[in-house]
Amino acid sequence: MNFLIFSGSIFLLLVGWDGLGITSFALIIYYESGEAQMAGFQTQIINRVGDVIIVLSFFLLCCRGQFTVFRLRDKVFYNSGVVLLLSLAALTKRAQFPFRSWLPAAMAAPTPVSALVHSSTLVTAGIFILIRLRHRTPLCPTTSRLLLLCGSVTCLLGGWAATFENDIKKVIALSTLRQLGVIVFSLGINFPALGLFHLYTHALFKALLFLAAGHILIITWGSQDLRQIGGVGLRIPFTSLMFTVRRLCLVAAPFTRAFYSKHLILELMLSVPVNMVRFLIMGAATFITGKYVFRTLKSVV
Amino acid sequence: MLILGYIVLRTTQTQIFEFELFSLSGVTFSFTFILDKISITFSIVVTLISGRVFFFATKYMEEDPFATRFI
Repeated sequence: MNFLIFSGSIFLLLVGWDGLGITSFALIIYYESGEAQMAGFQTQIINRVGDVIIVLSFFLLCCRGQFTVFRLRDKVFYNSGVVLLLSLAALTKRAQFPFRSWLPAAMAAPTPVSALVHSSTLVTAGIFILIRLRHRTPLCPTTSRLLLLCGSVTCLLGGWAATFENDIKKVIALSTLRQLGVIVFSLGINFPALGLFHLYTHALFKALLFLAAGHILIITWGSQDLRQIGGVGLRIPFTSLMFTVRRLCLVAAPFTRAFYSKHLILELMLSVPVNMVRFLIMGAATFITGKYVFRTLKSVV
Repeated sequence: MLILGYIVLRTTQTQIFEFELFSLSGVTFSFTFILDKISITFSIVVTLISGRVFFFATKYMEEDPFATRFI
């Protein structure tokens, strides 16, 4: 992951990218069950699609004669397809709308792996690349529209699926999808610094949420069903408290960490020209988030 | 690394390290590392979370028969 973070050329980017893909595959199939293997292959295939798109962007970069990432911000690349292709590749890694199926399936992995993959490493790699690409210059309108569409639809689908899900780990995974949708949306409306801020806050609170879920799974002897884990709040009050605080963070309750990032994104959404449909989708997704978060809290506390 | 990170965070500079591999038909193939505020802060967050999760995993997986394969 650090390799990917510090990479300045597209070669190093691909090395870090593939390293993440391979390690995540190995970690997801750790339990060697049929379900885990299916999830691992699903993840691997979607990641390979991302690799193919990055390799395609090689050819466009060859025409320009250089491979450094930071020069992609130059005006020469503003309308070229390179940024669009890299955005598409990032869509596969961060599990946005057309490629979102691998993220909930990856829950077959052990809980610490989920904590690492879903909070700070795998899914944030795609967003980090986009933030790196467009640190100063705005994206071309086609890419912005693509990001807005994918972000808003992923928000709604993630929230909707989490409302009807009973597996505690899958509910958290789907809430990750929803938060990633918000970050992608902030990139689409040209506020990358806010996206990065929400990425940090999300990484920290989601890691803690998964670790708390891991402790709850130990207490309930591996039962992940929300309907069967009622009353754990009395047996592990501190973990339950942490879980509750982080769930409130997820809905951006006042004075929690996400309050300052998520609310700002949603407020700025009102001040920029955004398609009305996408605006309504984001509004609906925000209401749905509240619904599933309080449903989870009711089961755990 | 720590010293470089400190310099970058204090001075808003961007450090770029470029290792040229070879050049072919006017196209230079190089390994480039960028140290700027984004990469340093993101690296801090990732390393912090990875370290914490590792500590959690040593306890969580201690009864697993294949724990040595995991860590």
